[in-house]
Amino acid sequence: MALAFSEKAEVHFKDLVSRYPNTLAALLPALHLAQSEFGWISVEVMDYVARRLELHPTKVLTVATFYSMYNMQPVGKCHVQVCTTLTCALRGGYEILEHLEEVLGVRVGETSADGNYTLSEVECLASCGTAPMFQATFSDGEIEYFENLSAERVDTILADLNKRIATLPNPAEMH
Amino acid sequence: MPKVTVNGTEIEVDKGTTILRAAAEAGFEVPHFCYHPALSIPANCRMCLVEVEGAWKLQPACYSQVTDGMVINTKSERVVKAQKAVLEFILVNHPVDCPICDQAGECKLQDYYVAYDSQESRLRAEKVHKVKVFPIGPEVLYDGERCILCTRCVRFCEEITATNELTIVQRGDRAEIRAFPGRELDNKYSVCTADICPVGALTARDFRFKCRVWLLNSTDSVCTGCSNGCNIHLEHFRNEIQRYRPRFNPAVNDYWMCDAGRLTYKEVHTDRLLHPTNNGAELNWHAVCETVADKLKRAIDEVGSDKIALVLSPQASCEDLHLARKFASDVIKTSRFYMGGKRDGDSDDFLIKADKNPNRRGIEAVFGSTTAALPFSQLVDDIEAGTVQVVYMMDQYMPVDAATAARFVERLDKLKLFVFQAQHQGALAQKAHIALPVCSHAESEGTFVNFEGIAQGFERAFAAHGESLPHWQIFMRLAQAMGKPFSYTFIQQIRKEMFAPRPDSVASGTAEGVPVE
Repeated sequence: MALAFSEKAEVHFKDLVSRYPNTLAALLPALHLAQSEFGWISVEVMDYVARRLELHPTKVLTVATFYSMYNMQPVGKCHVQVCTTLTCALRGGYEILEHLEEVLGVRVGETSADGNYTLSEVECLASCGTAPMFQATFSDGEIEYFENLSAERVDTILADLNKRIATLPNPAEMH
Repeated sequence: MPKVTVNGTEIEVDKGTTILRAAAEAGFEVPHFCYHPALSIPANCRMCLVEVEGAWKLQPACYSQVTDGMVINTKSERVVKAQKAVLEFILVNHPVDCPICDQAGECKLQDYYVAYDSQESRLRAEKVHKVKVFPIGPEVLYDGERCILCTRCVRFCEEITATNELTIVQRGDRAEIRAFPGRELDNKYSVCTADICPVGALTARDFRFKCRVWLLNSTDSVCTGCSNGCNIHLEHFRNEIQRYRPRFNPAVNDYWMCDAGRLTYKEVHTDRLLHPTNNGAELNWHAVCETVADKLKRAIDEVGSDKIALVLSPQASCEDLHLARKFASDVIKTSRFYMGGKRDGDSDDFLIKADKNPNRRGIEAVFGSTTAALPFSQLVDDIEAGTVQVVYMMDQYMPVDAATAARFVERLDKLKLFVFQAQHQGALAQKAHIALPVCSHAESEGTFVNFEGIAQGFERAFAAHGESLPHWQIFMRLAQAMGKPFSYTFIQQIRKEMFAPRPDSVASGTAEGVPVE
């Protein structure tokens, strides 16, 4: 099946391309859009973005692999990104990370066997006032912050998330 | 024009000259990896940092342009320290596997380490491991560990071939050169990336592990792959060509040559005809010349000179063709010429030309017109009609389709005499009454005129294979045997006569690309 943006994403795409002097400059937001649309940046997605922006695929490849926030592998329905930069680290970010590893049964960078969760360690998400925290990116494109965490709070959050992600599509199958 | 001082030497250079070029003009080498004169300047390797008086930071010499009164120091303490630091940084993850690296001996990193660094590694941690022997294209292999990420190959694919196959993926110490997944470095000039790679990261599949580069002898020559006549370094070891490497000539091929042309050297070492034969029996040169002379004389008496045809080869040099013409007109007294040579092949708008013969314009130059020789297909008909009864053929190439070629081979039986003078064995050599071995362009010297009319000399690289001789020497021997000897001793005398109107044009034989017209 040939890839194509949904109608909503198409509007968004045309708008963002119009805001840059050339298509190369629009590559970063275009890739973010494609990631939320197709779940992850596969070879087909890079090819599609290159075609849409009239760039050589190698230009897309070099940018997509340079930045760490493009998922070059399929992720889970909920991508949990735990901050471990200074403030969070001082306030127990690593404990939260370890707790999540234990509860989800995965290591940092891995996806759970049921395809529900991917766990990542990330740099500062600008929420130092409410450290420690993690950001969850859902496969429907929603992004949410979970703040002032403790091990207990993580457990209740995960219980809620489990219910929520039951209705979400699996990024590995989104395109 | 700005006046600059480089290491105390004052010189005047053109406006817009970079420090690196100004220093070169003043006689000082500035080491560099990423800079290549034919490509854009990213200034990413930092090897060419130099001190400019008044500038707080060291300046990249490849990128910075000179200004009037600039005082440049390429050897100051700060510069030396920076060069050591850059080399130490590049070598942090470099495997230093020089003993098994094909680039060793012509590696910029190796040379610069000896010239500018020469310190022991202070690194005690494990080096980062990356791909080895990665087939990045059909002709080129990539070694990620040796790569210093200068991006010369990336820029070559962007700016010269405009095919954009390569790019850098990942970042930091994980960065590598890659093609887009599922695609390859597959253009007609891909091996040029191995040429311009300053280290052993990109290596040509054909040359890998064939020969250490310091054993190679290099001879200035011209590629015989097509009529473009790319200038090459013909590099050989023990009488065998190991590789072709493009030789800079802005009038012809710049720094480049095509992959197909590079591999044409294999013809020189495949199926060579090594001994003169008479009906399949080996003879020495003296005996075979006597035999040919005898048979030709008899043929002239029986059928007349008019029915003797000479097939010219646009693969032969101008000197060869000049004597072929002289042999035909003065000795045999025929003017019945046919055009041999290879069939047309593919072409593009860069270097590759459809005419796969290096010297078609040479035939025009020697014979004075484009219509001096009849088309080869005409020969087949003329043999059939009986207007040609003796064929003297230079080289085995037939510029016709397979069916006509087969028809020609069949018709050869009708001939009274078929003299075949060529490099290679094959169907024609087997049919020949007399087969005379000719040496390749690597074993003789001569001149080719390329498609633009630029005459280019090529030099002799090594001794002739077997008993082969250049075409012109064979014609000399035959003329002697026929009792009408030519008065040449050296090829220079032929050249002088051949280019009589402008004796200085090729006489030097330096392949500088002197236009004939």
